[in-house]
Amino acid sequence: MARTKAAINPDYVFINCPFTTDYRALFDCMVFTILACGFQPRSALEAADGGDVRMDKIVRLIKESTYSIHDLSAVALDDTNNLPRFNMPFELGMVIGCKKIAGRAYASRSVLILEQTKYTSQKCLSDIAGQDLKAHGGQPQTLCRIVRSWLVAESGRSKIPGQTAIFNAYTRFSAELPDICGAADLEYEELIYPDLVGLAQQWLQEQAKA
Amino acid sequence: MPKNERTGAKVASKASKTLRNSAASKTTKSLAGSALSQSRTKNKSSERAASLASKTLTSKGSSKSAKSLAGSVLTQRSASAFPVKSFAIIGSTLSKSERSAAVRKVAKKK
Repeated sequence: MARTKAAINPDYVFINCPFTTDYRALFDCMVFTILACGFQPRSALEAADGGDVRMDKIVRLIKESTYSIHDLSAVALDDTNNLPRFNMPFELGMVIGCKKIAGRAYASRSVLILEQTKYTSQKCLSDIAGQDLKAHGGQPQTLCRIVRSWLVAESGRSKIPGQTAIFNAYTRFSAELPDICGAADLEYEELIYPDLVGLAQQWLQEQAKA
Repeated sequence: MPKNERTGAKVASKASKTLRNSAASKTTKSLAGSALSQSRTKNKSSERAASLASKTLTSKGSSKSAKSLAGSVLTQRSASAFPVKSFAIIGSTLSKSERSAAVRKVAKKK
């Protein structure tokens, strides 16, 4: 059977990271940085198509995205089940598998692998040795710098703003976000992913229009 | 560029004095030049000026005057410099106009 050609979008950045409350500051900063650099974040948290099971959605996101970011910082045992979360390494494995096996369409996809502290992931995932992992230390500012620098290097685009400008803007946006949610009759604590992306996009666009 | 993110009269005056001050450092004069150029034009600060401003702000040895100019330069760099794309937000509980109204309402208050 002929393999269907993936509809790759040069602006799509697939985000594979924890969706937990303790990761929220990093997640919001990552989404904002991707938007501010002129790219479009994609996540399994997006609204599903009817009947779209999670694995199908992830496969679709991987097929369509030129870039992907994988944060392996959630390797610690979780409080509820006393087990590590395997989703992030699993989805990273899917992307690397595609790059290595699935032919030319995937070989040039760019992958950014993050961890909390340097060399932690190698202790529990030795197969990853040789990959260039970046440690964000749980700091949004460091994460912003890493993501921005990686997008500049991988895309070759010249009109991406500097890391200071992006992080300054993110600091302002995150300070205003609870009030923006209030003005839109939304609960900040329960803000869903599409609304976060929409508000960050709108906020950035308003900077140019005001 | 948002009106309130252009160089204000006070900073422009300070920048002008700095440029005429023979004792001012090269860095401070560069920042003054950048800040002053924003007071009359719609240009944003260059990447180089923004980088210089960022270093000045984080340096313990920078003067108060240099930090003030650096803050102005950085504000001008952040304004309208984002190449954010327009794309449909699927699954959002808000329409584009509702998002815009909420963002503008808070910006107005600030």
